[in-house]
Amino acid sequence: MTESCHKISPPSHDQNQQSLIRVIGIGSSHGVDQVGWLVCDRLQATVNGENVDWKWCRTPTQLPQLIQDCAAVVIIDAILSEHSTGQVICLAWPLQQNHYQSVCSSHAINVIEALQLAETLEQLPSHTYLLGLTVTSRDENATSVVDNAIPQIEHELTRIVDRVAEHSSCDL
Amino acid sequence: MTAVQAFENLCEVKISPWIRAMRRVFYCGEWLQSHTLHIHMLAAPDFLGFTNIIEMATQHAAVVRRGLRLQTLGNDLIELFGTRSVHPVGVQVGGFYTAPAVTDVANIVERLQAAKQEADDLVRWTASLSLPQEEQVFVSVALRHPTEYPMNEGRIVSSAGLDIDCHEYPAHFREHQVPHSTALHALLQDKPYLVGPLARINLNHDRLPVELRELLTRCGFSFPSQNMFHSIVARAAECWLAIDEALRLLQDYASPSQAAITWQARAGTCMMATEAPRGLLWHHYDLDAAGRVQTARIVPPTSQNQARIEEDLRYSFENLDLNQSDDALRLHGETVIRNYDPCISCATHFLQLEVQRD
Repeated sequence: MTESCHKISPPSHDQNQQSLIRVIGIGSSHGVDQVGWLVCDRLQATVNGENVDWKWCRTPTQLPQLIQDCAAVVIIDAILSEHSTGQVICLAWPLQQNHYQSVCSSHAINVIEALQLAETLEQLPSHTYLLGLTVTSRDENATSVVDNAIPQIEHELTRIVDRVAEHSSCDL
Repeated sequence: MTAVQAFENLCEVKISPWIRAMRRVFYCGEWLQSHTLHIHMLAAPDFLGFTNIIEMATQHAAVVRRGLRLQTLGNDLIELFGTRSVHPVGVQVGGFYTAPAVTDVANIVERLQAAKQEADDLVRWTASLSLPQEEQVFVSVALRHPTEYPMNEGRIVSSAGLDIDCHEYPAHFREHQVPHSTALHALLQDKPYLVGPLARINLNHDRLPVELRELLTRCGFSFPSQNMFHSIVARAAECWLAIDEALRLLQDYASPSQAAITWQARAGTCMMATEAPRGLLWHHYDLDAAGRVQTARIVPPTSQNQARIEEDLRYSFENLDLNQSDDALRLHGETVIRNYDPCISCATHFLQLEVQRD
């Protein structure tokens, strides 16, 4: 698999924390649950951006604290969806009701609920995105899934960065 | 940690005072992270009449923010030594893989100092919750240390007079299969028993710092308590203890000459018991001469509480006015179970209730 090296340049006109784009991979070290972490590992190696911050998170309960003090947050996680394996779904907050189905979480609250909590506490960045990488089975090979999806994830991340930059320019 | 300490006992590894102290700090982080998550996300909504923490945050935002700050502090204490906060990997037989930098510890010390007032407020807040008055008869089991509030060292004691070394565990505690469950149940002398923060405080309240004991007294709480709903206060008290203890141990931190002691593997059988956030955790291993694990047996706290949870549910429902909706009965059952903080996957809305009404 050829690794691409992209320069995704977030807005560099403002060096303070409020221009920061934080990318958070949710996952664990087990099986297909590694997806969020592996994506962050790969992107950190290839994405060249001064104002991009990378975090690896195990449970959604950590999200409300992790997403503070940044202009934008991109959360990357494995998702179950009607799409085929490796398909990347990009959702912008606030989510439409039909964009997701609440699923029980093994971690007290799921990603959506964690973001709802952050919003209730007024801790949600003005730009919040979810990048879901579709898996259809827990037995899938996480590395293969990520390898095939990386170009599309980089494309989505570039679009998000451009969108954030555009909004930041309008705010000046 | 339990496994590591079991292997160290077998291989006669004498850890340094630095390693011993920092492992205790590590446990402080585990307790703080686990207890704050449980108090705010799982238990408190029950006692305040909310469906979940999101609803609770609409009216108690400051409380929820404080809980999240303390939880993050717990995670960061774990990460200081464990490299990551979930399934930490920094501990090894003989010590740690690395020692934290003095500057990193100084940052955490500053945050711990700031958290002391929040810990006070947390104890007061949980003590002010409207908790059911429901005393039960049960036996508490926990570690007891000659001088400290127990975390990862001590003898196994009970409120019924048990006082044993961890190697005697199998002679007194029995795990067995029950027909209606895939989980093993554990019994002490053929009876259910309680492990966890309430059991620990019941058996070790004299080991709490004087300042904490006085705070609890001012809040109208004294231990031992036979009311399972006081578990939330016990957890808050242990959060206070964790912050105080971590501060005490990190205050004069200096980098060690070695983060780990070298050791030689040997064949044999080893056992160890420690206090995980949810309660007594016991491990048993057989190792070969190369230090490879041949057999392993792990008895976690949630498993040990299974029989007690069922006993509590039976008692609670027998003493409850059952003339309520199925949803209300289900919520009551979930609230009873959440006192035990079973593994998180069990502690959210999970209970399937079948009601047979005449």
